[in-house]
Amino acid sequence: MFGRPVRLLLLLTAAAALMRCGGSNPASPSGGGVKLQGVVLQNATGSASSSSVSARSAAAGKITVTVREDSSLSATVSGNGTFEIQSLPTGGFTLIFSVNGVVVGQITISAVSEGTTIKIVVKLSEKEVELVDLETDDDAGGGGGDQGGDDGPKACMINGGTAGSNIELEGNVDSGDSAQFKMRVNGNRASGLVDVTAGGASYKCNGDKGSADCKANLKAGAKVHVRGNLTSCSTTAASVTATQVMIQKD
Amino acid sequence: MTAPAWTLGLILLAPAGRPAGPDVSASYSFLRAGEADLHGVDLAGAFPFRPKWRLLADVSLHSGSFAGAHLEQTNFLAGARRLLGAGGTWQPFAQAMLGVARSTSRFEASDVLIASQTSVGGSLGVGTDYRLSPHWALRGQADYLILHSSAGRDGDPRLSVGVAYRFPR
Repeated sequence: MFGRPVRLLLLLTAAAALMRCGGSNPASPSGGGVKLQGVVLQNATGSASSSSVSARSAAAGKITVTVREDSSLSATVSGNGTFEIQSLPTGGFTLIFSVNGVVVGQITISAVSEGTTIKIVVKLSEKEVELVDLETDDDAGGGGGDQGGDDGPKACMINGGTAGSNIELEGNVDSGDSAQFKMRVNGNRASGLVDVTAGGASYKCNGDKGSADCKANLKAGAKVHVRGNLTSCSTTAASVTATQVMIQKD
Repeated sequence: MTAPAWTLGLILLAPAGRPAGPDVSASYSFLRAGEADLHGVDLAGAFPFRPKWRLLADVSLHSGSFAGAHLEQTNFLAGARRLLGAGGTWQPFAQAMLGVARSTSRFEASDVLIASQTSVGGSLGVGTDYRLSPHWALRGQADYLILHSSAGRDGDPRLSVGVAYRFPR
């Protein structure tokens, strides 16, 4: 009696699996490289759990994400804010966010290893794009980045650092600007300078300065606290894509 | 004696042939919303107004996560269902509905960020009942939701599998 309904359920399950395989943006070809999954929070309102979030009024519209290094790689953000782009270059890339064809801002992702899936959450306001969160999953396991797999405890120049994991660093700016800088990590935690990509990060300063003024304070010697994702790490180089930079001392 | 015109309307709306009662269903539901796979429940009720036609109301709630954000989508749809074939053990049907969808994306870290979007649109779907008894049936259906919002147009496939109960007339 139940043989046919069971077959029906199996058929529907198979159909669901097929739909899961499809449905990606046609501009997101499948293949190797890096996969990016993202959520854009447009007109996001914040409820403070530890700090308040300003609610900006962004012009609603069709959001497009394009890869600067290869404009054929793009995606249209769906109504619930999700998008996906595949076959991204491993050497890092910049995402350009447009609303109704007008560029609002960009976010640079530093180098990651082949097969990595990057997951980002972005807050889109009228004038800027802010990287809220970044996580990476390495399909090959053993962390991402340029470390070439698990070579023991010294595969990463940052003590306790694992490529693909979130990280918080404290130190001083060695050179660069608010979009990209090198930092010297306090103590002996890192054996060299760490590259920080912070173009999409939120900036906070001690005092009452706004975000724009705060960014201007980032200069050589400034004491900073960086929160983000260690996208790649080897014994000689490390790259962090920051979601938040706190300047603690000018 | 000439019947008044409104009686013609009553005749068209009146059930004809073998009477059939309204039915309700509760189903597990899968929704592909944008790039995210959401899971949830689909509740529907249908009221017969012609032997092969049903007025239909459908509410489905879905949730899931994508790229670290929590997503929810609620669909409110109403429309008509057309029974296909002669009926019996298997009762296939096709349906069309219009309505609204509300999607919410939420990200929690040190701050909580919430973005919502309301869409309008409709759905086209097919399905079938497998009668287990005069009142109970297994129901499977597939719908394709086409939703318009300020962000553009989305096409979201939805699959539901559950049980239906038909009330006696």
